[in-house]
Amino acid sequence: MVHFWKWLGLSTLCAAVIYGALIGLSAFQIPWRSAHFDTAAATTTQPGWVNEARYFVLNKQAFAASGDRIVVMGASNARDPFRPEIMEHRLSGWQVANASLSGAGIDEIADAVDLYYQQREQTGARTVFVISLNYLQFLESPYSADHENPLATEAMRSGLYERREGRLTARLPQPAEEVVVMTARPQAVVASLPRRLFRAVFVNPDLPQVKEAVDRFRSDDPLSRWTEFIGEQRDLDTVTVPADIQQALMAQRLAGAGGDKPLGQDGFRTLADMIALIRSNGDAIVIVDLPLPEWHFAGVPVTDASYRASLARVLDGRRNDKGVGFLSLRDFNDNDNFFDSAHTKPRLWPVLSERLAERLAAMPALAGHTPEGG
Amino acid sequence: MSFTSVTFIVFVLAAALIGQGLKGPWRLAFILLVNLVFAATYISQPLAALPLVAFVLAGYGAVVLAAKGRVTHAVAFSTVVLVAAFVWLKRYPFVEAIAPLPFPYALVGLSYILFRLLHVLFEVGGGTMKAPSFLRYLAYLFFFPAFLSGPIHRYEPFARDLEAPASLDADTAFTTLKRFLTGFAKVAVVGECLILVQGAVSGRLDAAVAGGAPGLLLAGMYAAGAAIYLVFLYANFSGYTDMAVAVARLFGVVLPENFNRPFTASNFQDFWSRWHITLSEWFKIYFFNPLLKGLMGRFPSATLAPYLGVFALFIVFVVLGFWHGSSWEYLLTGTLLGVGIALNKLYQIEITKRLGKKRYKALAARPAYAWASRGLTLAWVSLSLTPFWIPVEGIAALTVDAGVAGFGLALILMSLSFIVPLLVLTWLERRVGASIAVNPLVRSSGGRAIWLGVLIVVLLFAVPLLNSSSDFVYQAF
Repeated sequence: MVHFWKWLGLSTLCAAVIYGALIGLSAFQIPWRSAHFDTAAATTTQPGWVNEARYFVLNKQAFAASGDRIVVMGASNARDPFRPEIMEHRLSGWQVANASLSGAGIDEIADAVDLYYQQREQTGARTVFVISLNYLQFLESPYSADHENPLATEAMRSGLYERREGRLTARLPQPAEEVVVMTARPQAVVASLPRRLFRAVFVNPDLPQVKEAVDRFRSDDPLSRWTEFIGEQRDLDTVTVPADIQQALMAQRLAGAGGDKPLGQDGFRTLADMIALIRSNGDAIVIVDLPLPEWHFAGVPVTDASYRASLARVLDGRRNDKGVGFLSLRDFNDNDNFFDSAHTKPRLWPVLSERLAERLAAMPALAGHTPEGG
Repeated sequence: MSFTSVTFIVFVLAAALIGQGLKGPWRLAFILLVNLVFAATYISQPLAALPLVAFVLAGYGAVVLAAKGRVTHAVAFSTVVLVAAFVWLKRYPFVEAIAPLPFPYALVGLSYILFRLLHVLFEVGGGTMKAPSFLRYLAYLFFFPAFLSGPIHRYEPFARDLEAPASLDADTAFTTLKRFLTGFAKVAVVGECLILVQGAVSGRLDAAVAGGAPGLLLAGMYAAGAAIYLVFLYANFSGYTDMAVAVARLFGVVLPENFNRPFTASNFQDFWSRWHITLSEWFKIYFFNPLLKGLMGRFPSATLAPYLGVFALFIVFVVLGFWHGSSWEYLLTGTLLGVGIALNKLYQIEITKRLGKKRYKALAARPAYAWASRGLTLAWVSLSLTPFWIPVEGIAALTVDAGVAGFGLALILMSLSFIVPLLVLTWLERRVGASIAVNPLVRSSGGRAIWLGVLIVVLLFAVPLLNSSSDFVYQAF
């Protein structure tokens, strides 16, 4: 048996050296510490993270740093327009993190808030959450009981977290978690390679013959057609996805949700609980009602009315709470502001960032600590 | 406790460390304790273990009865009772009318316990082995590395290793660790990737059947799904066996091999001497041989003898297939396996009659013939395993849509899909494999440690990425 322990020791040592080298090499692809916590990096400048969920989990130690912070949460239509660098310019002394996740519903946003609080040190620093919503966040979750949302899947990978009583709970003490997170960095880079290779070769507009061959195998699925169209665009300010693709995509999404009908109340209860959690931690929250194209709203009158009524009920419960704010961006609903059914054109992003920063600057929380109910 | 979990690795290493110096009764007691802890992780509450415990106790009663030799037909009677109890506990479809136990119970390891138990019973009853003590009997039946899915080891070598553990020199220790890591990678990386692809193909096939796709497309998709499933099953099961054999070695026990390059089999019979070897051996010794002996006693004709062999093989493979699962799907698997082996054997008999042994041997040695035979063998095995991944209703729908011609085409496509990659691998093995094996760098301690280190890194990389539980398919049987 002595020989066995010798081999085990030697091989573990070799594995540690090789893995250490890989962790070091991963820094060439994904930075050790980002200047801003900004999930948009996963889809733009740092593709090694693969997706925003992995970026969130492997970078969330940034939330442990001291300092007052504004955290933007929502889906991709909140990820792009609310630019931290623009907002920080107007909000002196506050760091702005955009932690939005593509396709996130209210449950996934609630998971993100839970993960944030498990990471943040109790330093007395203040946090203001910006929860960006429209009716899409409250449609029935596409994830079944045995299929977690992308953020939870990433958090539960490598045994970092488990779901206990419905909430993501850390399984490891903080130092051990940081070691596991560090070991996951090379995996993230490797996992990103197939997708990056696919993008670089098969859907690359600079390789038109290859792309043409791949496009021939695309199905008529509206999401696939949308992806194809967006992938071909150099400037999203000057284009709009063809109406038939947009209508088909929306119809597909609505069909999955059972058509234009009143929303269930579970999501709004989750929102109310989330607000209560944030306020019980002495932090503040701004609910942003995101814009959508007019033609989109015209297609979902019942669902949107139900969304507005339910959201109003949640906010009514916090009418006298100065730590809870609201910002409607529905004045941006003009069809020309959108390149597809939900995403604003890039030219609008600085404007939207400024509007949000203005609203945040008006929050009493940014001036001083706001006790719950006060 | 899943084999591919960190808990299992910690459990094995801790147990191996504690148990390495123990001898005699301490060693036996320790192995019993480790077995108990492992088995207990599969049992939710004490009551759930009751049928398994009762089965094992009844089995020991049968062994003692057989050892005393005072009761006529004790072995035959005990076998019938034990097999009947097994069939009832496993809820085979033909005992549905008999009421089940009124509480949920654990069946984990029962199939393999039955094989080991009957082996002891037959050997003791036949006078070739002395009855083991109760504690040794328990240590054998529940030996944790082989508890879930074999290999089905024999009692005598186990008892020898229990008495005097097999030593672990530097070479064997390296091979043992390498085997454990390779097995882990086969199950948790190769197998998981294959089943992901197979699942996608299977889903597309379902949609194609529902959408009334043409027979050619159905044949192609089915062939891909069936061929990938066989390779997946090999990765999953042989990987598990590698881990079981390696873990047993850490406790001084040498388990028998279960696989011997099955994808190089030259015909159906050869395949079964290379795939799940211990099960095939068990059936050969305790079912095929007595059955053939009985048939030949009943029909003592030299002309009939080869055909009786064919019939006995057919029966054995039907039973072997049905053993895999307590539903009618597995009877179909057994029947297809039985038809495969019977046709193969009949063909051999007839062609030998026509050509003579020498010319048939020369024909079988021709590369084109050998590769065609290999491809067809693997294709037929893949076909037989279809019920493992398509329910009977799905098979019926597929048969209606694709037709017999579609299945024929699928057999050809499957054969080709095995032959082409195997040809490439064989060529690579000859060109590269040999030179790597004798390379002094690879054989040096440093080279070996780096190789093991790379394996560990691969596992650390891939297992969390695939994020799966990596169950063993054969654990369910």
